[in-house]
Amino acid sequence: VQQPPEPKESFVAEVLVLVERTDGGVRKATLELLTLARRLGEPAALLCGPTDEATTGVLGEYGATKVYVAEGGELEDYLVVAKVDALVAVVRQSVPAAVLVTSGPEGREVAARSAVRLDSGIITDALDVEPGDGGPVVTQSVFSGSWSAQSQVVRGTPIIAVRPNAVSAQPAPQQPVLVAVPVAFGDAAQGARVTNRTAKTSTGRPDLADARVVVAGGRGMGSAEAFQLVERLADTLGGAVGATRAATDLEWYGRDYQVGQTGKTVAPELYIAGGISGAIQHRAGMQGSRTIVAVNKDPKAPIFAICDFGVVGDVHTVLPALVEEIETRKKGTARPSGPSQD
Amino acid sequence: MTVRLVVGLLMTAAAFGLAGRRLLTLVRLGRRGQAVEPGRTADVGSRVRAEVVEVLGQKKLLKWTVPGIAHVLAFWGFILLMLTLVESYGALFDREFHIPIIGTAAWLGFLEDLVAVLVLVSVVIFSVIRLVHSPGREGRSSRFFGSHVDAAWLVLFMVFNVVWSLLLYRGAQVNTGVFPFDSGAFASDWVASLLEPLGQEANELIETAAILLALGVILAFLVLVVHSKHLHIITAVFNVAFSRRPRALGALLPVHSDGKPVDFEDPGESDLMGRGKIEDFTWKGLLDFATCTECGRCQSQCPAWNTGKPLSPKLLVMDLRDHALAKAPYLLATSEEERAALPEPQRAQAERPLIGTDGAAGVIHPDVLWSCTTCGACVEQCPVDIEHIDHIVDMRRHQVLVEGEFPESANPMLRNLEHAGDPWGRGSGARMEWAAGLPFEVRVLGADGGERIPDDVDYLFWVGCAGALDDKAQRTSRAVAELLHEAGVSFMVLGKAETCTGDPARRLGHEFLFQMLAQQNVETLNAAGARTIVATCAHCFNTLANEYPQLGGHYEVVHHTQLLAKLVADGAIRPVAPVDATITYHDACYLGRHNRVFAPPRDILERIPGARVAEMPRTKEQSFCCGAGGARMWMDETTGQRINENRTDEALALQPDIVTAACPFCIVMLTDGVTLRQQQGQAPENVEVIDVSEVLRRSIRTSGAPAHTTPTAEGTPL
Repeated sequence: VQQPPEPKESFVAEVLVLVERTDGGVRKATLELLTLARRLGEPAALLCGPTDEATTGVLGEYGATKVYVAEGGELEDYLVVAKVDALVAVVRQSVPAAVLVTSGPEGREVAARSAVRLDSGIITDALDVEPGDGGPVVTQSVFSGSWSAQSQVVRGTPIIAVRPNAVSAQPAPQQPVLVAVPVAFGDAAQGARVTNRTAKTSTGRPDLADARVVVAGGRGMGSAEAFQLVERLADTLGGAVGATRAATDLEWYGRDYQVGQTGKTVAPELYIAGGISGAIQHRAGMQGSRTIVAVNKDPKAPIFAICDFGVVGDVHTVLPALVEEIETRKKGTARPSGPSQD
Repeated sequence: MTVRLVVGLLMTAAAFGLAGRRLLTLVRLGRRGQAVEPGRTADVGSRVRAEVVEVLGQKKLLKWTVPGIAHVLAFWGFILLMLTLVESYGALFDREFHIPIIGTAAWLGFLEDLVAVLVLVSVVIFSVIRLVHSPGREGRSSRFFGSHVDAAWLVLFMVFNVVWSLLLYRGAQVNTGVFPFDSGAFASDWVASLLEPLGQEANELIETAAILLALGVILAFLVLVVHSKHLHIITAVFNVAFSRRPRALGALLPVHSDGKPVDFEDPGESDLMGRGKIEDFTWKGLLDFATCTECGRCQSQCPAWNTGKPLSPKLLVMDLRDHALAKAPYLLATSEEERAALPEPQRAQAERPLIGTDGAAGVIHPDVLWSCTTCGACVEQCPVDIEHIDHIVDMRRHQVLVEGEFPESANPMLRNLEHAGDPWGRGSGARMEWAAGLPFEVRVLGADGGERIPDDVDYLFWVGCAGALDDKAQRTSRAVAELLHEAGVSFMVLGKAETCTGDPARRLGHEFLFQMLAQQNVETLNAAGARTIVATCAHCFNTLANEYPQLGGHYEVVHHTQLLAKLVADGAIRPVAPVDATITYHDACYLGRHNRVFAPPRDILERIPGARVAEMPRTKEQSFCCGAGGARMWMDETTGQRINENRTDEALALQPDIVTAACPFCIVMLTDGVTLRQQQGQAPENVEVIDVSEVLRRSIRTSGAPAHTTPTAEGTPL
């Protein structure tokens, strides 16, 4: 049973977004959640840990009208449970219409624990959230994309974990009100302590799991050097680089970038497969991609059965030509009718 | 005489005391193990046969000719030398003792001496084997790598001592006139001729000294046996008697706790989910560990060990045994006070995790546990019937079901099985993609509204996840469908109603997920009234045939190569068009070793005109795994050489045009290997990896061009 909003003139219910931070900033996925939250009500953000103007500024820029700030050593030095304490405290205080978190390892766990504490329903892996009678309507993709399911939480405050890239973040500037939240941390908050943080060597590219564009190379790239072509195309499109298991086994590219059955699962808006045959083990890691473009010299490669746009050709000539064309179009504002890409 | 008797009996009492105490500890330790699952004593006939064939007949040892013969000599030698032991003990009481009735016959004297000499021969052979294949010379590739080599040499030395001290005693006996045999005992007579010049008195002295020496040596040997890997001379008899029959391959046993299968619908609070501590193993498990002779035949065949991975079945069993013995004082202590009073190193054993990294002082390293492909080469080889795979899977079960610790790379497979019913996450909607483009309609159960398989259907064709979804396996499915169609065999498929049989989940240790999938499939199959099933996947075949009976699913299951071989033999399929190619066949572990289907795929290839079949060195029972079994298909393989490359190189050495297999996962692995070697320029471009059925299909076509080499799936993702 959903909590009825306070009887108040022109009341717009608050929708609480749990902020995920990066070093000195806010994760793009959080800004997407704020964009989603605007559909449902008035976006409010919960910021865990010390705040600064830049951070609240970004949150305001993307529509947060209120920023709850929870502080305490527990939030910085311990994992998950401290954030649950903070989230539950805010929900009890402000009774939002819904809580949105990012569907990632930490977000899902915070969501699950909070749902238990609040005796609320929870939906994870949401691809879309729309307002509806009796609460938000959540879309999930099930059976590996062959079905889409719409569901609603019918108990307590809906807690929804939304996948990154579900919507694109849209700015809607606001001057957020800062509200300090006193949190009483329970014993469990100190359950798992962070002992060390090591910054990952940055490639300057977006994280593979988050990226809107992924350019991946396979055995057909032929060599480790040829992956520079993949990197160049990825950089031109602002995307991440991926590789097949064959390519990582051959040590042409790092194992951290393996996309497929035993590697990462990605679902970007655009997936460009260079020199990838498209065996099912690879397909398992990228079949959720919205648009798939394939370049392969073998016209019989199975990748052509699943791609939206296929080029039969040598990656070593097609990829450079593609990079060149994109660069040209970026520079020249004109040239609306080039070689058709529709 | 009195001295003899007193010293002899005192030695005997001392040795029996020492050995008895040890045996008692071992028995008590064994009894700390879990109850064994039922059926270990069922079918007495096959167990007696196993004792005759494997113990008395030494059949599994004779798989290796030279070491096998040496072992036969030592084994039968020691059994027959028991006669001389009887004679020696008799002589403690009466110098002129001989065995009643036959005791003075020349043939018996000859037999005893012959046996003694042959045991010496076996010692020489064993020594040469140990010198030539010593770990010092051969390193990791020696089967003795990691075995207790010094103890093994000590055993050989003691066997040598047993024989020469016996012959010394018998030689002296000849000279003192108390030897039971006038003739026949050629070796004793020869020793006597050497001793004779020493004179009567010296020979009398030697006789007494040598009988005590001979008895002392054999008693010391007894004490050594119960404290070393040589314990197998006692335990192997029991281990073979209680082992799984006909062999511990094929089906995995359901999860048992306290000797009863765990009900996964409603598990008991205290039910053990696999093995998380050494005392969680059954007494048969502990008996397995105690019986290992460290011979390393398992290690020599293990695909993981042979490609530089940390798993050796021998070292795994040795580590478990050593830990069980080290933890014994703790386990056998009767009170907490007694435990607290134990020395620190013994108490520390109790703290060791069964599975853990070196830093955590784990008994078995996780990398060891997860390297196993469950190919069964170790079980096949083991001369004392140790059940390695069962133990490994039981430990995996604890890791997965209780600890939640397993290779991360296997996660998508498990998730996909749960959500989509197949390991790749394609979902049931994609299950019929394989049949697109076939020149005839494939009958799908339920398509015409019927819920049961009609009587005119000969076989239910179990397509399998790979057969339905994997590009290459789809071609196999089409080839089999076309061949059956051609031969007039009517078949039907389940279409969307089929899900993964659960094999990868079960071999990973996720029994819960296996039970879920298997139950669903058994319900589907039983509701459809399935009786005869044909499967193209060796893993599906094994699970359907051997494991579904555990859940109430009893079907007659054949592998497609069995069915096709029969159709070819009956003339229903006629391979006429020549396939001019050198073809090698790779045995899938779950078809060959696990289910003994060796001949049918070969029979098919032999019948194809023009085909030249070449066998790899490691073949049939000794076939080398492709690397995909035991859910390894779904895990990263980062240590050592990739198993599929090792096997691919073996196949490519035959310079084949076609590498065939009869399991979709073998095909994926070998294709991967061949593609890699082609890219490296180490294999000709024309080599292809295809299923046996596809070769057969080429042979029934006169036009030559295979009909479906291009993917026909029309679907595009959302």
